[in-house]
Amino acid sequence: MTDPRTEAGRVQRAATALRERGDQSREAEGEGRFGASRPGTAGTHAAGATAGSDASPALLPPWRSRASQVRRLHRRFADIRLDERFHVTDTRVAGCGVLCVTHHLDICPPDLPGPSEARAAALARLELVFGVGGSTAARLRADGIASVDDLAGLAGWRDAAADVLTEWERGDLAAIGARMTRRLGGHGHLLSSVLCGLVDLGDVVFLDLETLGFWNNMVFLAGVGRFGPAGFSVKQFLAPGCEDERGVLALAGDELAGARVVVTFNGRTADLPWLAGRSFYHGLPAIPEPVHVDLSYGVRRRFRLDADVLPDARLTTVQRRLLGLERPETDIPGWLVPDLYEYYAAQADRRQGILVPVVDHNRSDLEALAVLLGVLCGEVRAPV
Amino acid sequence: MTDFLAGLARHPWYRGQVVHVERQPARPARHATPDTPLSDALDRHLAGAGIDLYTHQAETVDRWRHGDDVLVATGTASGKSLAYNLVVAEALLADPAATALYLFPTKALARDQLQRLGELDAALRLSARPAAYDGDTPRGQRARIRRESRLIVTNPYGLHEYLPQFTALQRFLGNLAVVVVDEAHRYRGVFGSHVALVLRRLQRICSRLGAHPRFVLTSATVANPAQHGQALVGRPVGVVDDDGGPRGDRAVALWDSLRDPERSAAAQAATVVASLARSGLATLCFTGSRVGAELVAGWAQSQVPDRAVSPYRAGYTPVERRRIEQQLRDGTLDAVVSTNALELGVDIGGLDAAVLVGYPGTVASTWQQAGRAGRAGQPALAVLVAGDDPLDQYLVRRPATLFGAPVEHAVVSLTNPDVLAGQVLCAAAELPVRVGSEAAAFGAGLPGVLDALGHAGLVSELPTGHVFTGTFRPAAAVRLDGRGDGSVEVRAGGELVEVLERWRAVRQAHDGAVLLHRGQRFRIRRLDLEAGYADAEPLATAEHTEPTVSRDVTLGDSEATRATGSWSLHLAPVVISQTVVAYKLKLGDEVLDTAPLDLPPVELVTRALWASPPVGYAERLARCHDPLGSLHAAEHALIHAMPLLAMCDRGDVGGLSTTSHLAAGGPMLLLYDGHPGGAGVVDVAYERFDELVALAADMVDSCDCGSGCPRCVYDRNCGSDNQPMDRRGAVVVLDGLLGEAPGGISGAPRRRGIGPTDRAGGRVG
Repeated sequence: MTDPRTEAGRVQRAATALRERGDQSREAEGEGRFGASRPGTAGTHAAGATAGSDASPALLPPWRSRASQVRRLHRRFADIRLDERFHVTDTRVAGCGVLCVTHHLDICPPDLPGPSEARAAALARLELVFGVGGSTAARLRADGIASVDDLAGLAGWRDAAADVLTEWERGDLAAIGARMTRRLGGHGHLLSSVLCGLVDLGDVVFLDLETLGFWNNMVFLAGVGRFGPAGFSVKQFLAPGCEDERGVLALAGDELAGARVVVTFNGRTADLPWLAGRSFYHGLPAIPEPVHVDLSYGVRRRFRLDADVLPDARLTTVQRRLLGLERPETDIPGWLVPDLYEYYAAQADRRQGILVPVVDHNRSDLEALAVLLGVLCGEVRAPV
Repeated sequence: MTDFLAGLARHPWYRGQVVHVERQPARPARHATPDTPLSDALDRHLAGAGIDLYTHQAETVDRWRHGDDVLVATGTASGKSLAYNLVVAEALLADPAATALYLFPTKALARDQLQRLGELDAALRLSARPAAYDGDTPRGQRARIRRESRLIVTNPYGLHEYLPQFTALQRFLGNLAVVVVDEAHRYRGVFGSHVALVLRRLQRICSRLGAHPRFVLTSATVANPAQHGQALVGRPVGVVDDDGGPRGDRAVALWDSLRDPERSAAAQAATVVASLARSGLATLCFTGSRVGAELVAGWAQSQVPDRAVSPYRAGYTPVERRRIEQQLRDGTLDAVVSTNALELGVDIGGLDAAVLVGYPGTVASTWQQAGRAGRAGQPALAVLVAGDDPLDQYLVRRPATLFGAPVEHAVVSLTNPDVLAGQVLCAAAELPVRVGSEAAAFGAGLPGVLDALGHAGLVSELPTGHVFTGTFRPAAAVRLDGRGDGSVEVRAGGELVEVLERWRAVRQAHDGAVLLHRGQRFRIRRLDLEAGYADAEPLATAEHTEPTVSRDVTLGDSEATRATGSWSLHLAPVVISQTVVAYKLKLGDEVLDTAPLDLPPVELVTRALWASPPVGYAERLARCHDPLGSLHAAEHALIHAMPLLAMCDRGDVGGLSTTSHLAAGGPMLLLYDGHPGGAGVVDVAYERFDELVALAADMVDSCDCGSGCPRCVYDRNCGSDNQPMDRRGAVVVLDGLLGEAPGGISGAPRRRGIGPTDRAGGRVG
């Protein structure tokens, strides 16, 4: 096959070399762009080594190489069928097969601020008004101006403040959210969690994607969660093969189309652009973009300063240290997720067992998101 | 200028080194206006700047309006950038959403052009907000550039990195009207092949976004501008090469440094620079390496302490460079010694003289460097100080090679499997690749490449096309310069001297080797093949080293075969496996030391051109000549002649000759491309074999030595000690290889004759 005297052999050699260089580049580029840094490699998070070893040391000794980790997991999970563990249904969408894994989690709905409370919390931030910076806000507050409502009564600020108030009167969530993040930066992101209180909780969708990499690589699993009468229900759309991504994207798009607010962790730079990019790649219609609340900013803004509370801002760390939740017994570090799917897709018989940890990982991330939203909203109500 | 040359004779150090002076008379400008007038705004701008268009600038505009992609191949400083800027300005004025992309080979060139674009933007009120978008662009500015700029300047490395994130550039790429590719002749070899395919990727993305940009390219004078332009952009290009720009009187002197064997070419060049500076002539000197620039500048300065001589090289900060440029312009500096960093477009105003240390390697570069003298139309002098390299020495013997019609071809290889696989993978990560409709862009090899990528688990086939399913970022796995696969960087004190392919590194940069880089000697302290690094130190003494190489060649099936003279000629893939077993340290012809080496065999999978003679040839040749020595000398001559035909670096081509090769069934002459997978060099040699042979024959024939010497057929990198060597026999061999009567390049006398005695077997290279 790789006889260099034949055309096919030379091309195959080139392809194999390309793959080797690609795998090396993954290590060199620091996979940890979104907190999935691998211990001992050039991640962007200095705390990668400690955090990585946090991930179920019993299951995965962190010193093992990537390939041996995958083999180890394969040995442990190969014989398990997904439908033994989970509730799985098969569907066909956009000419692709999709496995739909559903879970019902017993999570209390978050205690979100109601519309009037959300409004009060937001409008207390005078900086929302165009032209009001930090020092102006302090001066105004000293003068007894406590909210944008008050500011609208001041001659010089009337029009600018009215812009803000109009957005709230119209209930224009997109404009309200955009103004928060634009005018208030990290705190605006934290504040934007109150947007979830302005709609029915059932219209809030929690989203987390699993991909083959961090560079617009294939999306093979889209997990969405919603609160309903029966608690928190999670749906995971899983591509049975590399050729089925379109189905996953289409179903994820449908979910977003039916939502008013989408909640993610790092979704602003990751999940949402990935979803849009992959849809464009496949020539699918653009995915509707609901109002977006990215909780990662709020976490960094509120908790990241104290290294004892939160050594890094990865979701698994947040989950364990901040929310006091346990990761699943099968948990794996995020950087291993692409390898597991790649290994799965390369098997001739595509035994699904190795995806069990991936499904658990994604479900656990969504669970953390659901709990985290309530925690961050609580922080907004009682600003420090 | 003439005074300067005439005055040389009175210097005690002058040994009659000026062997040829080519006088190029002044030429007035020819002006023209486009068939349809330019817009008022443009006209006013040009009139305000006192610009009257040259014929080739007007022709560029006409051809563009006609719907062509255009390649402008006129002389150095003929106003090529105005030609493309006119096209861009017209497109941007016509459509307020339209955008233009400028590609320059280096960031420095991009920055220089940017200033001019800013002026144009302001003068025409284009609101184009010209911006450089490359590795140096601050992160904070990028979003604004993506949102607002209609004119982005970058380099191919940048484009390769940014294309995968094209959704971020959707506004810009979706409105792309013009792509300017400056210095297109520099996009050749493996790098050029990558760039050609990056431009294919750009076009398919634009097409998906609804844009169909056209290209304006510029190039130095090459023999195949239309072919090269088409190879780069994938469509026929209209060539504008009738140069309407003015030229001042120019004299080009060829300086044979071997006339003074006591002093190196660089040392003699320093003396020439010093003497020009003393005469009050603003001088720019080009050397091949940074270290060389520092040395020559130092030597020259020491000879004229009352004049100011400064080195200039790419490693300086922009501020330092601007200061040196400014000082050269205003006369604070009398001479600057530069690496080829200054070769390109950087505007340093009018200079009186240019000194080139060693032949720069291509005729195009020679003219670009020599063209730096006499920019504003005043008389100018260029001195090419030829070194002891066979190619330099051939130019000394045959100056017409330099001054006649261009023979060198810019070549790329769009079928190189490494290049194609890498670029197709990047393309598949950007948009699904459809075999049927995209074979036109990526070539007939596309299905095979996709299959191979599929086997490697990197792509999957969907009804919509092949999609990338790897876990990494493809652009990170593909380097445009083709390096990264075990190539070796030679550094002296941290400064990069040269990058060598693995197979060349074991020959030229093994422990203890003396590496020659454009007239500079370096001793290799240590070679680390695994790390891809060789530690070198500059060497003042004159010794050199010769590797002893054991080689093995495996020929693949011939892709093309034809007869040439009485020989048959083949184009085929090959695998060259070589082991450097020892080396000799020599001073002149005296062997000072022989040392064994413990290096692993290095395999090179590439393309080759090989020729085999009719049955009984070796026996007939043996009547008068040493058959192996004749083939060996002919092989060296063909290798030396290659850069004249196919713009490539010395040493980009390897060779092998034998009187008995099993697969060839007898004697064989083989030339192989030194780049893994091939860079198109042997392909052009196969097509234009007669031209190559005629050049090689003349190279051999025009020397007056006996059986061969360093000026003609000796090769420093020969793996068999330049033994045996039969120069006259090589003339016979090369004559026999000529298919038709020589094409007028050599004009060498034909000698044929085959006599008795025998020597067969053996193999050299």
